[in-house]
Amino acid sequence: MTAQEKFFWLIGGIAAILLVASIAGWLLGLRVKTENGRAVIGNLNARIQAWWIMTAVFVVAFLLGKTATIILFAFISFSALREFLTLTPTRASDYRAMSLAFFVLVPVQYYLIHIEWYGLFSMFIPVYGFLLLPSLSALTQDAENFLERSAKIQWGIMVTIYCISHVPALLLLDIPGYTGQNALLLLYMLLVVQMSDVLQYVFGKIFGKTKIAPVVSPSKTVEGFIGGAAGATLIGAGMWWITPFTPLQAGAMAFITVLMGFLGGLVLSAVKRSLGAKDWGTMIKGHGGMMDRMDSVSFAAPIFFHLTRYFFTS
Amino acid sequence: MQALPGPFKAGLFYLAARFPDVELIPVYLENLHRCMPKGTVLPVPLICTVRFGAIFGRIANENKETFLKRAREAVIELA
Repeated sequence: MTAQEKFFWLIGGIAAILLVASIAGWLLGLRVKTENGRAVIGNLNARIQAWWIMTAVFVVAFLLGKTATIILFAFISFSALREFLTLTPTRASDYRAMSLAFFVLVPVQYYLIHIEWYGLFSMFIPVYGFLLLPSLSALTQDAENFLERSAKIQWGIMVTIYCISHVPALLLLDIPGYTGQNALLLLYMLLVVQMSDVLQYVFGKIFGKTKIAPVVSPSKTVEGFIGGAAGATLIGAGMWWITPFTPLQAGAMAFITVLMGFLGGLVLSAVKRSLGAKDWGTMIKGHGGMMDRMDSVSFAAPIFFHLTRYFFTS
Repeated sequence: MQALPGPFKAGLFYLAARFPDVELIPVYLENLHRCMPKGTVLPVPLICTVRFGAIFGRIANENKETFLKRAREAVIELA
């Protein structure tokens, strides 16, 4: 099968799953009687609808090619950073640091992927960003909560720009025998993370009893996690034919991706709560904000990227 | 971190007096002070929220100071 054919099989498969989900959601909507049930199904259907739109956006970007994909993720980082900094209490003296993050760090980080400068891509934000951002804030002579403010801005930038940029960075890996197919690997990683999220939600709603972290993330349950992790790992192993991995390797990569995704959801939920919010935003109907959808990706992407780079590139 | 508006200037009072039929509606722009602090040219793209209050009730023959104080409080109530 050519990369093109694999791509269309994959998209066809996703569309089929979404179609089944839409029909199931519609049937559940007909059967539901209670007020509470109606709210849950209403939210479920809003989520499924948003999935159609998100899938369409990704398919169009992938078909348009590498530049469009990189621009799409730059936009995702930009929106996620927007949500993060909106919830972060900053002061007028952080204005310059925030401007630098939005107007310099986001474009430069993604431009480095575009020109395939791996070295600078991997250290630009942790080194240059980390040192320059607090310098800009310190020059304004405002020392109140200085460490907290700098740390929060730095943290937001690491997660929303640096971590998320590792998704399109998969395009610059040179994997022997896999030339020209990296977009499939990108899609594979997103698919595993998002299937894990979706299956955890589904298993949690059906079988969920034991809460894992009731304070930090009340919707996460042991039953949901086990069902979702097992399901997504199996799907990941079964999708080995679009990756450079063997079925066993694909299963292992999927399992690590799922674990990291889970931790990402947990940590960012804790961050969100410490900032006093329930959702990151309102951008994606039914899901909350951009960060509510990208939280697991932001933790999974860098690890997936580096494992692939270490074990599978020449 | 809530930044409250400073004391209102007299312009609002004179405008309100000149146009007695116009409805006055308090509006609070949340986060604007973070997006564009004083003296900056380019806004940082944080998410801003606009909040509209109920129509501001007029009191006949109210003096300037109490009118402006009441108007400011109506806006602060939305913060």
